Amino acid sequence: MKHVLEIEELTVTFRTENGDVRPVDDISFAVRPGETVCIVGESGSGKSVTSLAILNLLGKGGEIGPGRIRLAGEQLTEKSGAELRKARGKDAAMIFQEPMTTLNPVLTIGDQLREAIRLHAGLRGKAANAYAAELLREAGIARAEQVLKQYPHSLSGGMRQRVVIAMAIAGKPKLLIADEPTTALDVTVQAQILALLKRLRTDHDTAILLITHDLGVVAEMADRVLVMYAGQIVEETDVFTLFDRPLHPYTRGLMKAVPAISDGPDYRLEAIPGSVPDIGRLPQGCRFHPRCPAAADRCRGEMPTLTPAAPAHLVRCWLAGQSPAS
Amino acid sequence: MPEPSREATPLLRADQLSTYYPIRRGVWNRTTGYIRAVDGVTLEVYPGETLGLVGESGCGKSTLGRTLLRLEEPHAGRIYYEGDEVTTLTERRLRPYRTHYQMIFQDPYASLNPRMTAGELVAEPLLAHRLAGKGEALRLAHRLLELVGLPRASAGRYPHQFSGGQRQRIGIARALAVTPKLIVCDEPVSALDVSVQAQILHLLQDLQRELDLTYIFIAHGLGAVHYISTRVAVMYLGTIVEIADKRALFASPKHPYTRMLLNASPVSDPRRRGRAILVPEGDVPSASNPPSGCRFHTRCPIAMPRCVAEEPALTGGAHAVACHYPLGGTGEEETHGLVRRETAAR
Repeated sequence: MKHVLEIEELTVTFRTENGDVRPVDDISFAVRPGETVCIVGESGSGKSVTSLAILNLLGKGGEIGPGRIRLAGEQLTEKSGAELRKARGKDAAMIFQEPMTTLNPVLTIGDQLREAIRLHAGLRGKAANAYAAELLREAGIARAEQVLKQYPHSLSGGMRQRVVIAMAIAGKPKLLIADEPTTALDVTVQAQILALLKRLRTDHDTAILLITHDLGVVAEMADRVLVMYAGQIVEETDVFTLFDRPLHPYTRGLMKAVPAISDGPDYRLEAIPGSVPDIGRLPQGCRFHPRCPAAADRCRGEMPTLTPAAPAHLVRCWLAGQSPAS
Repeated sequence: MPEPSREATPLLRADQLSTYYPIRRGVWNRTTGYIRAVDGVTLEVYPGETLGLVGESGCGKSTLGRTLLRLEEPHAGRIYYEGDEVTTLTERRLRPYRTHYQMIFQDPYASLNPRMTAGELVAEPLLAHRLAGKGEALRLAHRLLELVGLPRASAGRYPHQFSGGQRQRIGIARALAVTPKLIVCDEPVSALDVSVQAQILHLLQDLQRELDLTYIFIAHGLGAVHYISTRVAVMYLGTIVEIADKRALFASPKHPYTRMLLNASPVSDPRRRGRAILVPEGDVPSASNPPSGCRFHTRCPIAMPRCVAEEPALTGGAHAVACHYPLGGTGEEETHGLVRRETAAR
């Protein structure tokens, strides 16, 4: 299998009182086994909706189409509800920013883990119990037997996220989708959880689709990066190229807008003017042009396409081929 | 930025300040213990500086900020504004000081009345403190909204019509309305989009220069604190464990906790991802029953018997640290047997 996940021309439409909006607009990308792909973006970029669409968790109002999603070689967009539920957990599992959205407050960790194990690993009874403890240890929880008897509220945020990861890996999924998994955590706990995700990748060749707004997390984790803005991919390349030679003015702007800890002299951050556009009121032409320092006439009238600016480096900008916009 | 003068009277001083929250249990709501959110903090804030306050959730940084402004009742200790003790002043006697000490919040949406226009919101503190009549207050509000970079037309609009960054600008304009000397900024950029955070940091910097403001800048993100602060204090379980000039603290942290906090922060450079990451073991202990001696000893890789028995005092002048065995050298080298644990898989 060449790719764990293949997404082709995915569009998600939400119907609202003020007409249809498209939080995800014609997205294509693929994830290889064992690869960590980061989707980086801000509010309204479509990064979370993309992740929900993959497992068909959009709920009422959100419609996929057109577009194709292939998970572990199988077309997901044509599957029934039951088939989908099976694919979730076995082929792909998801972890969210807030672990309590996944955990049931009135069941013990053991109850919930055994349920996940029954569904995705087909084990019951003693075997399920032993596997539950093993999963917790895999997720870095030393006192596994004790934690199995505890309720979610008695655990810290970091411990809860470890439990959710343990549940997610019960079916040995080929792909783990993590939507801002460390955003609600303190930095020392974040470092632990990121290390855990890296270990899953090395030990089990688990592919990870990591959704984040934090360029620091991207630099720590990604093999490849998709930068999203207002529902579209605006840049895609490997992590080193992205940090060495970002081509899209938005990516460049983001990098200069984040304060870095350095012992150099005091400096002034470079702010991106304006704010993230509302997906119901997107500007004409390039969606970034109202905030772009280099915007030209063409950018205001005509939407740029995502095209290769260098080998394996895609960018959606009319000016990217020219001398770097400063 | 003007150099803050250490000889000057501190604009704000806290002496052994503690804020406890009672834990109530049972039918009779009896107090069975206390959460020691802030526990014996002594610090000074000098005119013109920005004191960064960092620490992880539950360390007491926000409670300290609120207690310093007398928005929380201290359990013990004293607070001085420009040399005057204000710890026990009644609300009426505190009033003249209130205008000089203001606060801005993380979520400006939650702190802005949705039924009031931006102009009314900014005029409100002026009216509440009887600093201006209605017409005058609204006129001033228009000027303040312009000062924080909002278009003139925004005075008549309601909070929901603004973006997150713009709402934070309204929050800042409100704080500025009563011409404060010191503003406690509690996570002012944490809820904002990354691309907008820099705008607000710029605004705070520019206002500081133009209006001679002093800030206490509370945040969990070390990047923003490093960027904006003159000095930085690190909190752990209700106490300050280290306080120093920004450069000294980030270049050569002396407390093992500070070192770990810096080390655990993600670095925006993929070529440094292989570096050894050192993190404290386990979870933060409960603030209702903090560990004996040094509060960090349960998670400290170099804790000694003395650390369990004896609470270290915050000492050392300009670079003060509360540790019996402070680290030396730079952040990159191994010192004092501080064990490096490879948690980063390559």
